[in-house]
Amino acid sequence: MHDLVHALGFGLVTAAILALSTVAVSLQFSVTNIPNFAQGELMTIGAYAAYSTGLVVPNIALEAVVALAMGAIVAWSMNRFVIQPFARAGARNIIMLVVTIGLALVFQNTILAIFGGTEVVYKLPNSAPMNIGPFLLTPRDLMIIGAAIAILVGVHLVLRYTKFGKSQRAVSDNAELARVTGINSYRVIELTWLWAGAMAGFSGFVLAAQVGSFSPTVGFTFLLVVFASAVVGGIGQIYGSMLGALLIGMGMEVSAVYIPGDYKQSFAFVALIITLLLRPSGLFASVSRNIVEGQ
Amino acid sequence: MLQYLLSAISIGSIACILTLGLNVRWGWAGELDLAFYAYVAIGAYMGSVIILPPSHEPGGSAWILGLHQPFLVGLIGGAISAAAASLIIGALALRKLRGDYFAITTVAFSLIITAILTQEKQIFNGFNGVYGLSQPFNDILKLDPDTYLWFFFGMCLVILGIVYFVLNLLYNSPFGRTLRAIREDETAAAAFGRNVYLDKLKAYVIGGVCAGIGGVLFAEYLSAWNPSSWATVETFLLYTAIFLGGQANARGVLVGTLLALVFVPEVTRFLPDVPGHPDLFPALRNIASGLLILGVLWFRPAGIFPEPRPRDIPRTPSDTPRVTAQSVNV
Repeated sequence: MHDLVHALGFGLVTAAILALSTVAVSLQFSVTNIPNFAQGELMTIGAYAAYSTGLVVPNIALEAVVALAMGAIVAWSMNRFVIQPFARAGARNIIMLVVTIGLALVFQNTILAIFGGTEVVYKLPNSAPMNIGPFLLTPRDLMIIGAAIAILVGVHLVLRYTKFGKSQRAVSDNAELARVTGINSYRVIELTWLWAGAMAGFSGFVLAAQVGSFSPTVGFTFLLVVFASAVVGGIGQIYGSMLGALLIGMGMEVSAVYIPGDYKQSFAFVALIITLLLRPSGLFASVSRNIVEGQ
Repeated sequence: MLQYLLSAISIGSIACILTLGLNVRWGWAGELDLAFYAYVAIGAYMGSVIILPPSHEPGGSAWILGLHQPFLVGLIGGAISAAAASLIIGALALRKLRGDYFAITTVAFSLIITAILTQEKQIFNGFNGVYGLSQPFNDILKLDPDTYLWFFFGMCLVILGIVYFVLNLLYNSPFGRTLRAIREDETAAAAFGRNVYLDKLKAYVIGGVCAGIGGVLFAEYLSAWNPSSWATVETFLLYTAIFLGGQANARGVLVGTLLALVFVPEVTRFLPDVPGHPDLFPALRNIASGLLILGVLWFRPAGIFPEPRPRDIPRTPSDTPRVTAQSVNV
């Protein structure tokens, strides 16, 4: 019982990291309709950006900002110089997926070429865990959870109350219709990549801070867990994605109490497969998206 | 040098068997399967444990079966195991998912299989893996190591030839035509009375058979099987070969495999090592693979040898009839 409560606490931290990257994936997927296999690499880039900044100027805030900026820049550029040209040439959706796989290979191995394959150590100053309610959390964990909540509230405010958020939701619902009503969907897509990249870079920084040491495959291994939360929550549903991240994050940590810890990611993968097979639009879907063929 | 070349082209022929199998799934049926290497791993493992005697690891069994059967039995057993795994996973994943969700599902399956391979030490012997495979047929032939290299290469080539021949028959059969019809327009194929799901599943299983055959040969070549050498990224590299050579064109796939999976890695092997940076060349090789995928898709989406098309389909100026069907919402 004690373990279970603690696992729930760790689950909150994992869920916080997951929520950031899942919302990024979900936003970008719903607006562009491209499953981005390079998303994990955007996180890796964020993690290594934070690490390299820390080598020069050890300052957490600066490291976070650099991670965020690098994620945004790389995501924007990959859209501008690779994804968009392919999309304009009329590449099918599945070809776009292959394109992002190609990009993922390039990104991941560029990092490998620069930093090498051995794990780098990235330790944030940390102090002893405290009892917060029933949970055992460190100040760093609290910081992670706080940052995630702040950013997610920000996402909510932007989507709900700004004109950009409104046009983004419109493009995500129906890109053709949005264009007809005079929304510059190209610009919306471009800004979405920028935004999703920033969130991915930041979540990479947070992930790095939590795991403490990582190698160039850190993001790629995390990618399918992110996809799992996005699918469980319903692709394109921002609030669903947050819930999906919470479910998957909690589920992974709690499952580690009962099954060998090395299988905890498999929990996410099984959840992904079951959701896609039984309820492909996600657990909380009210409208079904075009996930099943022939709809 | 000759020995080196022989082993390089032996590996090349094995890789060709793998890419031909993957090409059935992607090139013919149009399903982006990213779990392919998991089936190679399953085939290689099952083939190995059928060929090997029971393990003598102290402290319990390190691998299952240990049937001590001849090589050919192992080859068939490996192929059947990989096909069975493909049947189970394909039956689940191919049911109704759109292409990109299917791809994501296959990655999830492949990661689960990888986790099982590395975690279940009772069966897969952890990081040591399965080892001690003897050279096929050499208990009868008793060749010296140098001559045996020739024999092994010849054997791989014969098996590749058989696979190529059978797949070519299938490609030109009504079944092959149906698959291509499904790939081009699923709804139309269904309207003409084709069982889309069943035909896709057949293609998936045929791909699995090739994966199993290639896997057993691979294990024999290395005389060992290791649970940690089946990363998802290997499947991406196979795709590089297929895209480069030409999707759905068997000859193209062979050329693409030799270029992307034999020529490029073997040439980079001769580059001088950078001290203190052992990962540099593997990294550069994978960067090259990624750039190759992007470059081929941009400049020559149909590959070096495009799939021959019936005359009655008009060619679009961009030479990409397959790409135009459903464009992305941009």
